[in-house]
Amino acid sequence: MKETDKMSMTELEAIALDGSIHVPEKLRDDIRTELDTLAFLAGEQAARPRRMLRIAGVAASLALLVGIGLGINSFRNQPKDTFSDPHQAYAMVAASLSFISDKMDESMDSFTQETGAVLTKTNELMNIKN
Amino acid sequence: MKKLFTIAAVLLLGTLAHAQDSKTIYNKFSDEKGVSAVYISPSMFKMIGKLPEIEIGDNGEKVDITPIVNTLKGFYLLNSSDDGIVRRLNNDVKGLLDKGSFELMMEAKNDGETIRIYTDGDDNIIRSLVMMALSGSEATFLSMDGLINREALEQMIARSRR
Repeated sequence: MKETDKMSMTELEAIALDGSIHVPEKLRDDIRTELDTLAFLAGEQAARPRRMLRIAGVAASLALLVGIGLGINSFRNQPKDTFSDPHQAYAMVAASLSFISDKMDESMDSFTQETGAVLTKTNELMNIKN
Repeated sequence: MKKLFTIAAVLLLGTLAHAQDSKTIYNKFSDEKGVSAVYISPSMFKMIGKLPEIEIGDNGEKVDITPIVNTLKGFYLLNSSDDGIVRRLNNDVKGLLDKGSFELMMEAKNDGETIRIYTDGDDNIIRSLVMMALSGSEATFLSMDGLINREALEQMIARSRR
């Protein structure tokens, strides 16, 4: 083996092509099996990324379909604008905000009146007591 | 692969969880008989742009509400006096408020009328404002979505009350 290690590729090639050298049958079978195994493993390794890519592709397609479906559904459920004039829309928002503030105002007035009535009653009672 | 499915599941669940919102309620009731409905879309809010000040409040004071309006993304208003609709609307609004992270901002009761205003957001930004007003057999549902500056809204309401 040491001798063959020292040989150049050309020398090794010449020996391999020399038909007079007898190669044992078992060695030939072993080499073939080894080569077949290597070829099989190489094929497996090459197929794995392809399978992963296929799965990723299917997942991406599904995600896209779900996305499109949700988008269409959302578009279909989109209500129609009540106003075509932005001034009217603005006035509506302003009126709503005004409504909220008016209600807060009414509530505060009512609270003040109720508090005032309680204070008046308390004062009356205090005066009677005195 | 597991990660991919987890992300997809989370996204899908997120979408479904968001299903019960103001738009869903609006779509459900707006076409029913006996319901008055108003919807203002995000594109309409973009069109509103910069409009001049308009009057707000009974005192006639001019208040510029554009800082609020410019941040709005959706406006939904429903009003009805139909007993059945009012009951169902009230239930759906309760469902919306229970599912979200809404907080009661204000409650006002006056002459048998109850108004509750809820907000969803943080100390600075209101992402959604919901108002439910019940007066006798009448109900009004109002919802404004967007990125409303809380301080601007409070100041505007306070200014209009002066």
